[in-house]
Amino acid sequence: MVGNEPPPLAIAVGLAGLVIFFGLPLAGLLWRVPWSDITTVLREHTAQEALRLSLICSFSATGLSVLFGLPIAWLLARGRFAGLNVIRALALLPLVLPPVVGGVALFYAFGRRGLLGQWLDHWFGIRLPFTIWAAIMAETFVAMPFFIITVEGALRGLDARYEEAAATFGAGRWTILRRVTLPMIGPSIVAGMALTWARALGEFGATITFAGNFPGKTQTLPLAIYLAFENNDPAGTVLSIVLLAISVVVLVVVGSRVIGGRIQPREMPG
Amino acid sequence: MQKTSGFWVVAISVVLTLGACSSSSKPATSSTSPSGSITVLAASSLTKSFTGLADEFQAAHPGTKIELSFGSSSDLETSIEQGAPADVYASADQKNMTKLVTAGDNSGAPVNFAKNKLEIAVEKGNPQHIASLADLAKPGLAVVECDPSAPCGKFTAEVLSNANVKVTPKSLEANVKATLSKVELGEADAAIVYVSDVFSSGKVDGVQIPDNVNVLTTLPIVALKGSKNAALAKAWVDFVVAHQSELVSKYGFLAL
Repeated sequence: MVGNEPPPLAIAVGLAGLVIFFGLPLAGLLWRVPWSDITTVLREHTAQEALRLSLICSFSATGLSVLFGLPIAWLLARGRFAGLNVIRALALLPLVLPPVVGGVALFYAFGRRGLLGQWLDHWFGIRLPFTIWAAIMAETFVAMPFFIITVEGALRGLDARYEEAAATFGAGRWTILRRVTLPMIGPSIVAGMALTWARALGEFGATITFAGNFPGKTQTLPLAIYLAFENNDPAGTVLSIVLLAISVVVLVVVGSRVIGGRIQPREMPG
Repeated sequence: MQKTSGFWVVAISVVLTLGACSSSSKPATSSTSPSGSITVLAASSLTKSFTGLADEFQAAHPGTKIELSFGSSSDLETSIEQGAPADVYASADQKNMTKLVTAGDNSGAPVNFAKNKLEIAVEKGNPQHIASLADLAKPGLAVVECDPSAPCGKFTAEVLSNANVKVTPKSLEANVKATLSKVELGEADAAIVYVSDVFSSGKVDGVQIPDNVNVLTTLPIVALKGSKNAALAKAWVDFVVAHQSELVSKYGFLAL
C-alpha cells in the first residue's frame, strides 16, 4: 500500500498550500473577531434578517439548480447532436463571468427594460429586480453550473451496462432513470447540491447588482458583511464567522461523507 | 470610449512633446518635474471629473501615470487604514477625511477643492412627473438610495429628514455610481445622488432639491503618508485644486 501514498515532498507542498491559502486567512478572521460583541451583533434585527434571507435564497437556488440542472446535465452527458459543446459552454459561462457582469446581464434580460422583463412588466406587472426572487435568480445563475458539472461527470462515468440490462428486461426510460440511473449517481447529486448551496450562500456580486441591497428584502449575509466592512463595523467580522460556521457544518456533514466517497453507490440487485 | 479618447490625448501629446524635445537642444523640464505613477483613491462621485483631469494632467506631464480607483469614501478610507498602497485620497465628505487624518495616514493638511449637493435623478423626460422630494413617497414608485455607510447615503437621510419625507427605497446601493446606474438602466424611477452625477451622466434628468433642506458637502483631497512618489502626489493634488473652475463648469460641482 506504500505506493498509494503521495511522496513526502507532495505532502509538504500540500500542507504548505493548506496553511497559506486556507489556514492563515481563516486564522486572521478568527483573530479579529470581537468575541465579546458576538451576542450583541447576533441579536440585531439586521443580522437575523440577513441570515434568514441567506438561508431562504441559497436553499431555493439549490432547489432550482436541481430542477433545471439535472435535465441539463443529462442532456450534456447523453445528448447526441451537433452544438453540444456550445450548450455546455453556455451552461458553464457563469463560472468564468464576473458575478457583477452576470447581475447586469440579468438586468438586460429580466429587468423592467429587459429583453423578457419588459413583457413580464407589461403583461403581468411582474418586476423582478429588487425582490427576493431576483436574489434567488442571481444565486441560481451563479451556482447552478457547479451542480451541472458534478452531475454530468457522474453520468459520464456511469457504467452503461446496468441501464442496458434494465432496458433488456423491458424497463421504460423513466423507470430506468428512477430505479437505476438516479440511485447510482445519488452521491454525486448530493455532492453537487452541497457545492451549489455553498456557492449560492456566499454569492455577492450578481445579487447586489440584480437584487439590490435592502435589509429584510434582499440583503443577504454577504451583502450585510460587505457594507459592515465598508463602515469599519465589527459586525462584519461577526457575520463572516456566522457564514463560515454554517458553511463548515454543512460541508463537513454532507461533503466529507459524499465527496470523500464514504457513501458508495448502491449495489445493483443481481 | 472615455479610455480610448484619453489614450489618444496622451499618445498625441507624447508625440508632440517628443517632437518639441528633438527640435530643442536641451529638455525644458526642470529637475523637480514629476514622473512615474501614482494611485489615487477617490469618491465615486469624482469618477468622470477625475478621469478627465487625469487625462489633462498626463498630457501636461508626459511620462506620468495617474491610476484612478473609485469607491465609496468610507470603503476607500478603510482600505487605506488597512494599508492599501495609495498616494492620494479624495473624499466626498469631511467625516471620512477626518477619520483618515486621525489615523495619521495623511501627509500634510487636506485641501478642499469643490462642493456638492444632492439632487433627484429621474429618467429622461421625467415620465413619472416627479417634482419634489415629497413625490418620492408615492406608492409604486421605484426609488433607490445610497447605503447609509456611504457619504451620499448619510446625506440622503439628512435631506429626507430635513424635508420631513419618508421614502421606502427599493435598494440601498453601496456607492453613488451604483445608485445612479439603476436609474440609467431604467430599473428605478428615481435616485437621490449628487448634482454633479446628474450633470455628467447625460442619461438622466435632474429634479432640484431646494437649498433650505439640501445638504452642502465639501470635498477634500490629501496626499498620503504611504506614498512612494510624494512629488507626483503633491503635483496631482495641486493640479486638482488649481482646476476648481473646471470641476464647476465641466462636471457640475459647486464652487467653494
